[in-house]
Amino acid sequence: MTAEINAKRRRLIKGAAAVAGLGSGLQLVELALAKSDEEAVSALQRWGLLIDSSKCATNCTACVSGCNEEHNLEGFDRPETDAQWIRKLDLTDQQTQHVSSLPMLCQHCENPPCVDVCPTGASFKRDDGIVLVDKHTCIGCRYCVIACPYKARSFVHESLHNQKSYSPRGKGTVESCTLCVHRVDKDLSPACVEACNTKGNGAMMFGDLNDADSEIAKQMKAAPSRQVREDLGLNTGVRYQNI
Amino acid sequence: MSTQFKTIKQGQKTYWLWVGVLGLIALVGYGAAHHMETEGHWVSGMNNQVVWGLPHVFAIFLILAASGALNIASLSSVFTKLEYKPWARLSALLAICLLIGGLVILVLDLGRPERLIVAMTHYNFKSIFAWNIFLYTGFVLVAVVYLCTMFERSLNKWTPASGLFAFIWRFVLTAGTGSIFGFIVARQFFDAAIMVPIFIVLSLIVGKAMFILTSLVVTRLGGSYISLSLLNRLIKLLGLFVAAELFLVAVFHFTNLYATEHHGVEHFILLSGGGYTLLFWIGQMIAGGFLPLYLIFGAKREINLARIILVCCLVVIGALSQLYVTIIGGQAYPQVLFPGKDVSSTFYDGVVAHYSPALPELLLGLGGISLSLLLVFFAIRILPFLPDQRFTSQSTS
Amino acid sequence: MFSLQSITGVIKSAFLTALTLLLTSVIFSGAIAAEPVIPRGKGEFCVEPTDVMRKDHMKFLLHQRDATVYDGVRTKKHSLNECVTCHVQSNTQGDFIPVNAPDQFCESCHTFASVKLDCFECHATTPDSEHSALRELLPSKSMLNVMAFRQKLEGRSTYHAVDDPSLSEDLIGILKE
Repeated sequence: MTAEINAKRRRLIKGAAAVAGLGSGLQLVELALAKSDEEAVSALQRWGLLIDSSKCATNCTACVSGCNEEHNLEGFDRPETDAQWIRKLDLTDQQTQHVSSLPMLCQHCENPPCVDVCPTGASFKRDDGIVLVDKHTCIGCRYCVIACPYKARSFVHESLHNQKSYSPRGKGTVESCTLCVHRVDKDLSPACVEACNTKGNGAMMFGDLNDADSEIAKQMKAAPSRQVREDLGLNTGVRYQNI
Repeated sequence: MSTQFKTIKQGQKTYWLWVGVLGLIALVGYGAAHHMETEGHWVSGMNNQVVWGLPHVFAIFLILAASGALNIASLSSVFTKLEYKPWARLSALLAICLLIGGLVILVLDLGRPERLIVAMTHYNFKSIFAWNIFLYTGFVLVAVVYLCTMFERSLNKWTPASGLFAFIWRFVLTAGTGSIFGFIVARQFFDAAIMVPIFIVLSLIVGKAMFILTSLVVTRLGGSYISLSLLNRLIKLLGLFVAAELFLVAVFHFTNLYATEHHGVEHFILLSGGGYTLLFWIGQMIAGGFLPLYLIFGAKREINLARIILVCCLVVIGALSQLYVTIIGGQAYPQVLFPGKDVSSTFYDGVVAHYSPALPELLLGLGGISLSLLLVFFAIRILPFLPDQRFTSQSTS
Repeated sequence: MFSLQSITGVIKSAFLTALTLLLTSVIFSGAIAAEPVIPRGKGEFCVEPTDVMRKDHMKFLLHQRDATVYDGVRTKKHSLNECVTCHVQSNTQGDFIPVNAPDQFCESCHTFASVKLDCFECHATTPDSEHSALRELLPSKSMLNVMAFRQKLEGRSTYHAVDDPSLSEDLIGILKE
């Protein structure tokens, strides 16, 4: 209930701020709208990404570096077992030879197969649509890795040190993109999006798919976008344009 | 007519030799699991592309063999084939022990095996694994109850009922095991409900083979014997199931071959998959299918013991090959995210994943099999599982 | 197919297992662990009375863990990160010593009590230096809230911020000025 009231209030404030005509205050309002630390996330939001493949350069890996730095995904020089939460895919059409590039990561499905198959419920979807692994109850069976249609999950194959305080990860559990939940809870965008916008080509956009006034929702309404493997009917939170 | 039962003879050197060897392999298997757990799974051949490896092949083999091994008991109490009744106890015992061996492998291969308690207290009931936790532990319970009704004379009247219940339970259990793969939409080679009957028939095959092999060993130790005519009936029944399995596997592949979207994975398994293709044709099809069929139904008269043992070994090799091709081949073939596009990445998209089993995986798998047999050996020494033919009329065999 | 490394690894592990079993039996037969060294945390008091924390810290952590993981609740009071920040020690060079090092706050007591400490297989054992630096650079959230509400008050005179339950007391104080 409180979540609902708070979310309504945030929209109200946002409207008021818009009326007041804050020019430079856009970022300020965003921060002001942050949920308080005590407040639980609610299903009124659904966080998602819109990725424009036409802006994504083949040789650019800004999003990948951004993610690796944020979560300290340092590898062990063993590419077969090292974790990758986000990776760049280069696509070549077999008929037309058209080449495109895009980042692939957890698609934060509304109906995630990883959540379906997890025996302990460690794979779960937060009310605001972010799909996570509760590493406290993950037993490391890897069934979710088998079940993910996007190859988005990694299993931690060795003991880790130097984890970030906001991104716990450890041996014997499965992990994947958290949509930078620690940043989202502070109303910041995920590290990959920030890296793409500052060091890359601005191909990624983050926002609330449920808020019709959000930039991402407007963009999605205005131009066609697609889900990867839409045939599975998973209703992904990550959508692509111009593949 | 009632059958007398006995424990095995005391003070045999061969018994302790078996126990010693099996115990050693089981211990080494545990050491291997411990090594993989403390170092992390990177020391295994498994990786982020092929997350289930050789341990899972062995574990699922044992779980299938467990449910199949119970069928000798079912033949007597559900289908009232009384000639199998003397072997019902051993059949149920073997079923329990094989299942425990399989489960131990699965648990020891978990990333966090010490969190078994979490798996026992947190359930997501949409997960097939969660169903299987109940199906597997329930199976042990059901089989123990079934055994009790066989052992305790006053409970004998309940044997047919509990036998029927166990029979139904084992079908559901194997259906659950097949569903682990059959219900996975993400992989080209899984996602087929026919996996369920394929696994059920495979369980009937390997269950019988494991029963015959085990019973030959333990009867020799126990001073009783299993008659060749009974083995002939069993092996012919096994032959029918081998034929049925070939049919189901053919249906599976023909269905895939008809649909263009599955041509890639079929090409991989049937033609271009290297080791997987070899295992499919030589292991699964010839060793596990056509050769046993020839050896069983090509025989003019009674099939001799050597041939029976050969058939059992062949179908075991065939089943292991089939599980290897299904589980590991199914993961090695790349997931198709963008049909009609060639895909490349740093994460092995669009290429066949590399997997070569590491020694610890093999040792863990063999350790699980040894543990199963070790449990059988302990049980037959403590309780009367083996028929005592001195008191049984020859007509029963 | 099987590397020499994995063969020796298996042998080593089997040996270690046997050794561990042996040692455990020796340890349980008499040896007593040394009394724990418990360095004081920073500040005057812990978030709960010391005797409560001693007995129930794991309950607070467990409750907070589920609230954070599932509901995104990020209050600081019972957060493991705050425990680490407050109880972490530095060495003479000024570098943090991990809280799970043998003689440090968490581990020394857990060793004494023979309770396996599992938190730090995943969680950071020292505060993130750059993370905390970032936090200090940013203007505080409550200041920004004040500014936003001031803007809002200008637009809507009937709004009574004091009635708003979500506003913290310090914020109301500033607004009343």
